[in-house]
Amino acid sequence: MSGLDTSERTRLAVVADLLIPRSDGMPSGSDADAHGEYIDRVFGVRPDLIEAVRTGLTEIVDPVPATFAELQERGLPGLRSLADAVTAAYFLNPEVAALVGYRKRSVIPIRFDGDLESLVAPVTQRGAIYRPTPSPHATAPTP
Amino acid sequence: MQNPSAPDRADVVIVGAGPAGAVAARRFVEAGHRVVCIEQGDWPDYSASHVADEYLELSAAKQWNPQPAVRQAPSDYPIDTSESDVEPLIWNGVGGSTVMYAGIWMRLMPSDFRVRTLDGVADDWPLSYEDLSPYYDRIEADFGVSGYPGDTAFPDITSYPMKPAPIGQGGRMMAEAHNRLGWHWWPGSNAIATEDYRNQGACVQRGACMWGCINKAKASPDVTHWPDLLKQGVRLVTNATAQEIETDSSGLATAVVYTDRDGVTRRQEAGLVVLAANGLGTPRLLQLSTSKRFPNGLANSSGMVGKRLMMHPFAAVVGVFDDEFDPWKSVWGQPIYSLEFYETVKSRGFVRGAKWNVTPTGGPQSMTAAFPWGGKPIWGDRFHETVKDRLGHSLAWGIVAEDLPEEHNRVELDHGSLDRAGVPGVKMIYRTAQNTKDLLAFNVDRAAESLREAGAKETIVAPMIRETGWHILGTATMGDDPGSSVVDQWGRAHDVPNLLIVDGSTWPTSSGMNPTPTIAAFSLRAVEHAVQNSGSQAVAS
Repeated sequence: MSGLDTSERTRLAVVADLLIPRSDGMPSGSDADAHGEYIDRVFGVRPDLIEAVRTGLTEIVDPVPATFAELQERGLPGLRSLADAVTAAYFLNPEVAALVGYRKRSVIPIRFDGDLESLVAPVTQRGAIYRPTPSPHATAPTP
Repeated sequence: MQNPSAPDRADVVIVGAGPAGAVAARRFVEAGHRVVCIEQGDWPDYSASHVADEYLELSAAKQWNPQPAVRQAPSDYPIDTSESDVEPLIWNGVGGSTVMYAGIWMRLMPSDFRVRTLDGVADDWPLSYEDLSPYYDRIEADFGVSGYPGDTAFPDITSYPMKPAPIGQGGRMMAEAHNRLGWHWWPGSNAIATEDYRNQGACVQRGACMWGCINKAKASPDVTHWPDLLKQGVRLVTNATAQEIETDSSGLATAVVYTDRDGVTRRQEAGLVVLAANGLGTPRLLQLSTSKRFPNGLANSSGMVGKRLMMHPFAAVVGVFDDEFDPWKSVWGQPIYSLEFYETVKSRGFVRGAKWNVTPTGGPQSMTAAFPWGGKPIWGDRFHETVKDRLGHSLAWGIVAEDLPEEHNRVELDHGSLDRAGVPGVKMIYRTAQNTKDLLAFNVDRAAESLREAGAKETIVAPMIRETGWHILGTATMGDDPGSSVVDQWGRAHDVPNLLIVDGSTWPTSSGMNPTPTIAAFSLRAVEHAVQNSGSQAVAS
């Protein structure tokens, strides 16, 4: 399965901006090239999404809605997958990731907590909270 | 080519290389038995893990997704869930579903074994907490568990192999809130190494335990057991689909028939057959194993094979805070847990209870996901504001609810859908009981109260989530009465003296705990008994 063609990317850019508009100092979907390099990187890891995105785009018949609310009102079955793929592409842009304060997972050596004894003290002071195993001769209560 | 015998007859053939099967294999091989294990899937491919790159969340939604219907791997068999409230989450391969679990490690409490006696519902187990306790100790050493001893919710947890992982800022916030409320909490116990330990490396807190732990800090048997077992001489046959357990004229199990990776049907003969294929795979294989002597499936004279399916319905309540605490820079597992509402209090209007654990909410892509945010789309004008509110500012209480056994909840063969070997898949019929719904509703309200006490400015409830069927229990139930149960307290099938079932299908009741420790401890106890009594054990000749 090949990637998106030019017309599909153009349409995806429009939809990406409906999903993720430019506001609050954040770039829109197309500003972040979600329809270009980053959707291709999504497909590199998730080739199964190519067809989902293509189907989602096909479902959006002209005229393209002016807002996400209008798009959502159409109840298109492929919208969720399309939106998930665009969102993934958007956050793959390192500038976007930096703006929201996210970095890929890094190595953080364990530093043990040194105060657990005092932190759990209120729990231990209340004593056991379990019901012990009853004697073998205990009778069952009425449900 | 049909039914050529595998090269060597074994003393023991095990079906399933997950925790129950791996524990059984270890104990049998240590006792000098020749052991073969038939495993439907392959080894996990950690080279395909994305926990250290920017594609983590993308891969978690597909290749590393625990839902077979999403993953669609060749080793997954068809599961019809059209009549189930919950989707099963399993992984077929070496290590079993622990390859994708969070590593949360909880023993059962004493009352879990005595539900009938204490609460007047369901059935008591034919063994007690005290019977299993020494095996928990041994299993916790084998699985490299880290934790903080002394929890007042248990009688005798006096040590763990390793110190607990840091509870993190979020865990601390919730712990302090519970201290103010006078509610139970405890530092998390996890099958996650906090230092280099045997085959496990020390956790490096990527917060990605379920999606391919490349440090091998998380204990799954492909790390903790199988490398050693292969050196000890256990023969592991991967990509092998078990089709049937054969029996002889005296009703003893004689062999497991399986299809190998090349599509060739083979027989592995053995004196003893051990099933460890989980709450779906085990009843599936028993139901497939029909014969003149066992027309309703093997070990099924009680009619209970496949019935009493329990799934642990799961809810989550998210708290959104002003404080920032990077929740992806920690262990995932459970930083802390609470058993405040675990035991029955009749005035609540339901019996039994739930276990809670703090769970991170993930990275940016997760902020738009249906779980645990309730499914309302956030795109459009509120996208940036919502992501900013949630990302790095949220955590959740995950709530594991006990559900009680009901015969109408069951697993059946689905002859209309076949796996790669042409073996029928299964159909799950599972409906959540009112007691469970009431229990979840109560606990969801209390969890929201807990989060508000911790300072949450908003709480969001995911009341019962369909894609959370991690714990598949009860479908080959254990009991003293052969008329109403499949196996005895040692996992021995009442009808087939040389057939052991050692996985979670044996559970008479589900508890509200993550089941792996008890599955593993039960397997060890059952196999220990078989080893100790091997002189009198009936075996196929």
